[in-house]
Amino acid sequence: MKSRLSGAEAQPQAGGLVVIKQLKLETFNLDGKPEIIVTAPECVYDTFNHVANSPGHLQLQTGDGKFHVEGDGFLWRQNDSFLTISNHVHTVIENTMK
Amino acid sequence: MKDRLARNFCLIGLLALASGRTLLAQTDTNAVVEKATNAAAVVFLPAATNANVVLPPKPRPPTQIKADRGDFDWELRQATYHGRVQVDDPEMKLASEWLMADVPQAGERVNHIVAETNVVIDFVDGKGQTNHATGAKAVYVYEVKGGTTNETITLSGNPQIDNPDGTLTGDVIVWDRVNNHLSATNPRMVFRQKLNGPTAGTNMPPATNPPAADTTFPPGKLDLIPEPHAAPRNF
Repeated sequence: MKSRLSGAEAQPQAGGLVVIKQLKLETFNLDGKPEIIVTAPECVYDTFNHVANSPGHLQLQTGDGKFHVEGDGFLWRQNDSFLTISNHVHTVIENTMK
Repeated sequence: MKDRLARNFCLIGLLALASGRTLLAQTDTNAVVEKATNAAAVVFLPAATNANVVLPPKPRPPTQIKADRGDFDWELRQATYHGRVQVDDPEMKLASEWLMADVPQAGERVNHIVAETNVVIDFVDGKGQTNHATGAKAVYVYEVKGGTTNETITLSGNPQIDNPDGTLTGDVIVWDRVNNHLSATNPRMVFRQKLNGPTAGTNMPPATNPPAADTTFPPGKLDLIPEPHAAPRNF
């Protein structure tokens, strides 16, 4: 499994769309460890094109918790693991000394 | 010219020595080690114990990046920021219109950043002086090869660095962050005159005594030269 999309509530819509509340999106590396975890209060998921989007807030963090991103309005392309945050992007990188 | 540049902008080599304060204690087993840098501090205990205690490095504040928009490619592990990009790092502040950074793997640190368009970097050097750098492009690289750490920021596109000593320009300016050293190709340096004394802004001579001019007098006190005695006055 490469990614998992889950939520507290899902409302199917016409055209293969699903409105998901309390979205949680996780991607995993080949070892099965989580790469990123994305959370959002709500989004619309297109089951045909495997794309999720929302005008609302989004938070993301890497599996090790060292890289956090948040912003408003997003588009997630599941096929190539590409995320666009449209507004007010704020990244925090915890500095790790090697 | 190169020597002058080296003298004025090799500044920063003393940073590690100046900022790191290691206390060596050979008799006090309760010795405290304080070190301003992130490098591991070592305290030497009495010979009887013959052991070195290595304290963990202090945690470094996080780096923050703000921008209007961001694209995150998790297959390439690249984050690209667009519009009014601001980087707030413990060691510098950077602003630009576009910035791309590699997202570090778990346990690693950011090792490659490219910033473009109206790049402005403000940092404090080893002398505690503020430096203001500008250019069209800046590339940050961090790598460890054969046990040697390299960390550089390369400025190009009419790069310029201003600090209280003067202004450095060149085709490309490289800031070696490990050695705190600036170098430039085709460098041009304009030195800033220091006018901090009480006569600053006037045409008065400086308050300090001028150096003695060469004379043919033999060494000795001036009172060796006989003075004419005033004749007694009779009234």
